[in-house]
Amino acid sequence: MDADLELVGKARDGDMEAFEALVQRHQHRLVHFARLMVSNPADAEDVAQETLLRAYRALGQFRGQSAFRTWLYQIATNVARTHLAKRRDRHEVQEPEGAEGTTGDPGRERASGEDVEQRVIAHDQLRRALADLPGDWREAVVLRDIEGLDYKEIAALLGIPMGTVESRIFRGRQRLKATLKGATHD
Amino acid sequence: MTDNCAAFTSLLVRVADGTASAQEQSRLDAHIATCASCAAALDDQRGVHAWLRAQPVTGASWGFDTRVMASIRAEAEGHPGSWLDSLDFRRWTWRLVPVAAALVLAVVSVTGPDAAVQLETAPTVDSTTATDAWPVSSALWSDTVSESSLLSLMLSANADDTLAMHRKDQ
Repeated sequence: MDADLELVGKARDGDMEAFEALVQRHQHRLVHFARLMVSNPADAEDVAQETLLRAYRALGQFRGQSAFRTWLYQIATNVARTHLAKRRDRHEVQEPEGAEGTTGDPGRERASGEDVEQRVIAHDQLRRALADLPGDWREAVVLRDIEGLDYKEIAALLGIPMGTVESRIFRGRQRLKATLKGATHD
Repeated sequence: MTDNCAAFTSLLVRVADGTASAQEQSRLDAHIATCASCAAALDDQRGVHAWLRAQPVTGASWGFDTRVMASIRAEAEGHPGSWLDSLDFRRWTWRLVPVAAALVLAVVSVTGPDAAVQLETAPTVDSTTATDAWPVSSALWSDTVSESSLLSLMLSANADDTLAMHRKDQ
């Protein structure tokens, strides 16, 4: 049973506080997902905000056939794709084919605590590694291995057969293995 | 990996992340017992999956939800989408017309019955009438001043002006 359904119902009836509760419930993972999809931390919150705005506008179209979270990720995936396409048009990003990942944010967050610094380093490493994947592999891997959606949900969200999901995940993980192995030996 | 191994891709990904059934696990076990390539691939898949699952979640910045809701509430309440909309002078100018009309009525009503007498005896504005001393406000009850002239007077005249100052030469 989707824990969000009650809030969605209220939000659909105009209850702003209900939608705000949904925003607070999903904001962190949504921003995290956006950050991994667009590989640019500065744009991640824009993507996440646009996702929530579109979700609000389209609440009447949500039928509950999938979990609300899955539906939200579907919107986020489309927003991220649009964002990346615009950046490609502006020649700000290229679809990787084994190219090195983008650099992180130099000088960002000179952490005051070692734990925070380690988290930043780990996240930058993750982001760079994922940026090295072609977009469709990255989507599948992030949705499965980071967001924890099952294969059926991912197939429905992306509109592709389950076998294709599995194939993209397989190839994405293999590529990540090579990238991380190469980074370790640097 | 051989072409035969491609058939095991699905099993490799599912066994690696623990979503395979017992039967699927057995099938894969039987295959990797004789295929070093797939055995290595399974290790790689498991390792990457575990690494990804262990990564920290870096969430939204402080105030993100507040900003999102502010944006949504503004849209829901029909506020102008941008500051440019608020500079649409045509829209807000027309909205002031009923306000202006109400103010005029209020002024007339406040000045009382004497004002009504004055209205009845107010001279008309035409080129043959001596109007030098009449205040510009007398145009409001004149029936010879056109609407466009009246609007022009309202927008350009000062309270102390006389009609003569704004009357067009004929």
